[in-house]
Order: sequence, then structure tokens, then C-alpha cells
Amino acid sequence: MNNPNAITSISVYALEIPFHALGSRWIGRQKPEHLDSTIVIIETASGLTGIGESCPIGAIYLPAFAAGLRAALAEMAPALLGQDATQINQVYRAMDAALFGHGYAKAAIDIACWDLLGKHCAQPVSSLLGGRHQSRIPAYASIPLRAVDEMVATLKQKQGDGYTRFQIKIGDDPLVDCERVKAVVEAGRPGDLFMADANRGWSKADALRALETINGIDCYLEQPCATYQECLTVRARCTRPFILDEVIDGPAELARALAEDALDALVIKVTHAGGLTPAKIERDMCLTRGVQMRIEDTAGTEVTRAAQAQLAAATPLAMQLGSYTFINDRPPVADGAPEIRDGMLHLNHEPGLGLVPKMDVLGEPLAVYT
Amino acid sequence: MKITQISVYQVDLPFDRGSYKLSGGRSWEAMDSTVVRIDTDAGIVGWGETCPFGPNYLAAFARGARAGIGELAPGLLGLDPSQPAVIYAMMDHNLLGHPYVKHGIDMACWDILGKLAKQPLYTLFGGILTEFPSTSGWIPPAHGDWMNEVIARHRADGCRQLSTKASGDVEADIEFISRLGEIMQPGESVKIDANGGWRVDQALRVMRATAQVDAYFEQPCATYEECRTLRHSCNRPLTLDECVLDMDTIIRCWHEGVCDSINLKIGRVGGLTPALQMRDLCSVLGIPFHLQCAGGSSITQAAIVHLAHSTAPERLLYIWDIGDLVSFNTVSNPMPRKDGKMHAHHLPGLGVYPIDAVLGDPVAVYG
Repeated sequence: MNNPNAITSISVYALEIPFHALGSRWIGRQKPEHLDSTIVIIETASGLTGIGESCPIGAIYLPAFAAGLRAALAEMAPALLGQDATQINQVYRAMDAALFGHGYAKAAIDIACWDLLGKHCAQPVSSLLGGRHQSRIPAYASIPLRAVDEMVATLKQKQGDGYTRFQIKIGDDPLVDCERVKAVVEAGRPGDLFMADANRGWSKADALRALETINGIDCYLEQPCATYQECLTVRARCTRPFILDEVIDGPAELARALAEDALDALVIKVTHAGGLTPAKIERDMCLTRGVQMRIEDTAGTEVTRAAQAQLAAATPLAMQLGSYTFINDRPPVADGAPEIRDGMLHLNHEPGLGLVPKMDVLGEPLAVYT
Repeated sequence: MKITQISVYQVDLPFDRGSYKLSGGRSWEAMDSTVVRIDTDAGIVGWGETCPFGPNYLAAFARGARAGIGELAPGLLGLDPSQPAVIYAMMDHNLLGHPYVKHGIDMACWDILGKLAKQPLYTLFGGILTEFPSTSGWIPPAHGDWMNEVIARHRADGCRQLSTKASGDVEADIEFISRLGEIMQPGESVKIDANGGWRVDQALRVMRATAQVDAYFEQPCATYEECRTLRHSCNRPLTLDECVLDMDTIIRCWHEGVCDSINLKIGRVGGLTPALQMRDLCSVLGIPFHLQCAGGSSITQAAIVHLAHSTAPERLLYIWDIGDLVSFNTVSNPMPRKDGKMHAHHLPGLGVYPIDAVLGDPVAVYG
């Protein structure tokens, strides 16, 4: 093999991440206490490596689950070995030719290739995604779905930690949800920003019952119902800025939503989009239509945090609502990940994703394809 | 890395065979090109070019390009050119509109990023998907010896799509296209570019009268709305060109079912940064496209070829080869062309070496 950038091995690691459900009906049916994350390290003939991750939340949040992800990697691996890892779209096409759909599995490989390309070019990934607008990204705090008082108490605690952007988890009884949103927003300080997220938990009727109150509160309304069409109906009657998340599965769905004026803001979850390559396209589409973004992910470790932060760093801050971050009690899988301080993510300027993986934490690979 | 100096050169690119004609009596003898050189404190030099064709083609003209660069330059000195989208945001902050002005600077920034990363631009654009992009062959807009000679040359070179201009005169265009149909060979297609020169009724008459010819019609009418009306009244493949200025229009025309294909001209949309975004959008929406520029020399040609390399073959229609019209060269290593196909040099950035003697002295130096 002559090409020094040819992929010679793909190592797959599994990592258990502690998880606390934030609420909403969808998660009530399945309460995982741990998430099963998959980390991928690709290596090329020249010895360069790239790291990527994809971490579904259980098996019913999105059509994505950990065992399926690993099966997809096994399915695609033979087609990936020998591919030039620095030719991002070539690698993606090889994956598309080997396996239909399953963007969340392709995301892990795609992210690893971007990391590798960045190292190959001696540039941070943000430079290759258009250029770095800023190295600090505001994070937001999510307030779990609980009793009204508890939620207000959580807000106060998070305000004390330096956060100014908050997501209020709802998706329960619509009238009780209205009380939750009202109480939390009333406890806000000037400049605080609130997003009420039903995570698809409302029926269309629930949403319409809630709208009369929600329309009078200074907050964004996020993903009230399960389907795009239901959301479109609610959107037409909602005077609050409207966020779509789970129902936008990729750039083509986003084009439809933009053409039908279905949203004011989009949650770009990098692995849900299918990796940094399609997420970047969604980012560019949002910019052209003045649609605000949250650039984040479903879940994951320092690797996921670094990937989402590189795209967020390459996106004008005025167009961002903030990013979600996963903070939990476990040893980091890599050094160099964006630090979370004062409600902000702070990026380094190192090449690629700027990470140095800790092989002892990753442990033995589940599978190595060579 | 910081921009230390921006130099501007003016180069005339004469058409080899005299005047170049578009519908509506528009005609030019040469293109007035503006070449941009950006120097950095790291010693890396980036090259770009903007060449708006003639001043009555789009809302863009050569003197305006140079005035615009003069307007932008002070705000760019000291910035990091290896972050093209950040530079672009600054240009938008300091000057509204004028995408063709920003195009020249943006191209030079990409050249710098490629050289800094030590990668050809096609790698930074996603990697090679089309190894040998095919060119369409320009033919003169009149039958006769000249056309026959040009067509013979294109056929010998393996070219599969001929491209020509309509005059805007319905009767003349019907006759011209019908005769083209008679000389076309199996496997060949022809693209008739009206450059917005027909009204809807005129376009319909031409299309009906030439139904037997396997032709694509490019920008038949001037506005998007006219093209939309036409689209819903005809069954010929349309290519939208001048009216597609940004991603927003692509989303709109895709949603309204108007977009069979587009002609993505890097300079018209404001440079490689926005062209890449539009390329990606067309790719995911299933819209095929030509990659061209309004005008330019081999520097612009390099930008087109790098973008074409990194575009999926089932989306890429044809690229333009400015060498069909202008043999005058601004670089010592123009893009190689063989069998109707071109490829980039596998060198960092644009991978072309402008010739100092051809550029002459700069007409302006900032910094």
C-alpha cells in the first residue's frame, strides 16, 4: 500500500457513561442509568491517528442504539480499510456505498477523519470548517423535569454556576408544564435566555392547549410534538421563537423545513446529523436563512464535546443559542478537551480535535479491523 | 498568521477571435481581470482573481472590483487569512453586497490556507471524488466554417457537451438550434444559453419549434419568476444561472420544483466560501450543476478545477475551460487538459504560479 494516508486499522472501544434522565415522556419509558458510548480510533499507514465517538441515548430517543452502531461499524470496516482518511467526502461515499442510512454510526468515522485531517494539515478542525470565530462557546444548563419548586431551585443553582442560558424540560401535562415554564422564567435575571423543551412529549392538542400561556412568556419553544407535521401546525400558531431538534434528520429535511418556514432555530446534534460533514452543511444552511443554532450532540465523552465545539467555534456566536455539555463523574478519555468554566466551553488551538486520548481509560478495544 | 499586504493587478484577457456575443446585443472584445495577491507575515503568498466579464452581464464591473478591494483592504490588514469564513464575515461587516469583489480576496485566502496546510484545495474541499472533470465545449453562436472547425476540434478532444449562445431573436434562434440538431452526433448534447434574453412566450416558442433537438436551455428568461413560469409550462431541461445568487435561492427553487440543474459560477456567488456551501447543498438535494465562473484566467480556472475534483461525479455536469476563448495565460503552469477533461496540479493551495511579467506592476498596494 503506497498511500501514507490509507486507513490501516479501525479500533472500536466501548465506554459506560453514567446517565441521569432529564425528564419528558420519551425517556420515562426507558430509564437508562448508563449510556453505552462507542469510541473509534482510525490509524493510517503513516501512523497518524484520528478519534471519533457516537453515543446514542438508550434505544428509543432516536433510531440509534449502541449495539447497532457497532454492527454498522463492522459492516462498513472492510470498505473503509485502504481509503484515504484525508479525503473526507471520499470516505463518506465509501460508507454510503457500503451501508444505507445509519448516519449516527458513520458519524464516529467521519469525526475521526476530520481529527486526522486536522493533524495532517497541522490545523484545528475549526479552521477546516471555515475558520475560528471564537474559542469560547457559551454552554447552557438543562433543568430536569421535576416539580415546579425543584426546577426553580435548580435554576438558581445553575445561575450561581455562571450559566445564563437555560433549557426547561417539559413534555408532561401541558397545563402543569405551563406553570413550570412560568415559574422558572419569572425567577430569571435580566439577560437570561430560556428554552422550553418538550422533547416530543406533547400531542398536538397538548401543545395547542399550552400555547395560550407559552405565547405570553419570554422563552423559546422546542420540539413540542413527535412529528414534523405536528410541529408545523403548532409553529403556525406559536408566537415564540420555535426550535426543531429530533425531527430534522439531515440537510434535505432541513431544506424542507427552511422552505416551509418551520423553524427559527435548529439543534444540530453532530452525530444525529451523521457527523461533522453533514452537520457543517446544516450549519451553512441555517446561516443563510438567519436560523439560530445549538451545536451539540446526543451524549458522549470529551471526544464528542471536542467535535461539537470545533463546529461551534467555526460558527458566528450571534447565531448560536449555546451548547449542551455532558458533565459526569468518570475519568476523562482524553486530555485537551474543551474545558467547562463559568458556563463556557474553552477550546485549545491544537491540530485536529486537539485531543490526546488516554489509552488506559479506553481499555481494551472491543474490535480491531485491519 | 497576519495579512501584511494586499496587491492588486489589472490584466486584460483578449478573446482569441475578436468579440464575444451574448443575447440582446451584448458584446465584448476582452475581459478586464483583477488579480489579487495577499502577503502574510509567515512568508506565505496567496493569489486570487475576480473577473466580472462585461459590465452589463451581472451587477459587477472591473473598476468596481478594484474600488471594492480598496474599500475592504484596510479592514483586512492584520487579520488571519487562513480562516476564510472569518475573513468573509469581516468583509460582509465592512461592505454590503458586492460578492464578486469578495470573491478575489476569498480565493487568495483559500490559497493561503492550502499552502499553510500543505494541501491542494481539493483536499480541504472534501477530497477527490471526480478525478477528471469533463469540460463543455464552447462553440460560436453562428453556423459556418468557424463553428465547424471548433466542433471538429471538440470532437477530436472527446468533448460530449457543446455549449453555445442564443441571440434573443426567436426566428433566428429557432433556425440556429434546428440546424445544430442536424449536425449533432449520437451521445452529444447541446446547451443553449439565452442569458435571460427571451421572454416566457419567446422561450416557449423556441422550445416548441426545436423539440426534436436534445438541448438544455440555460437561463432562458431574466428573472427567477419567469423561469418558474416557463418551467411549469415546458418539458425541456432547464439550467438556472444568473438568477441563482445564493443558497437561499437554491432552497427556494428546489422547493418550488424549478431546479433541474444550475450553473454555479464561483465569482457570481461571491467566491469559493459560498460556492462550497452551495455545492454541498446541491449535492444533498440531488441538484446537478455546472461549475464555472463569470470570467477569468488560469487562476480562476484552478479554483474551478479544485472545486470540481471534490464534487461527486453524479452531481457535476461540466466545467468551463476558459482556454476555449482566451489562450492568453496568467500562470506558468495552467491546468492540464486531455481528452476534454482537466485536472489540478497536486500542489498546495490553488497550485498555480502567476507570471510576474504578465501581471506587470500592481495598480494598487495596501499595507
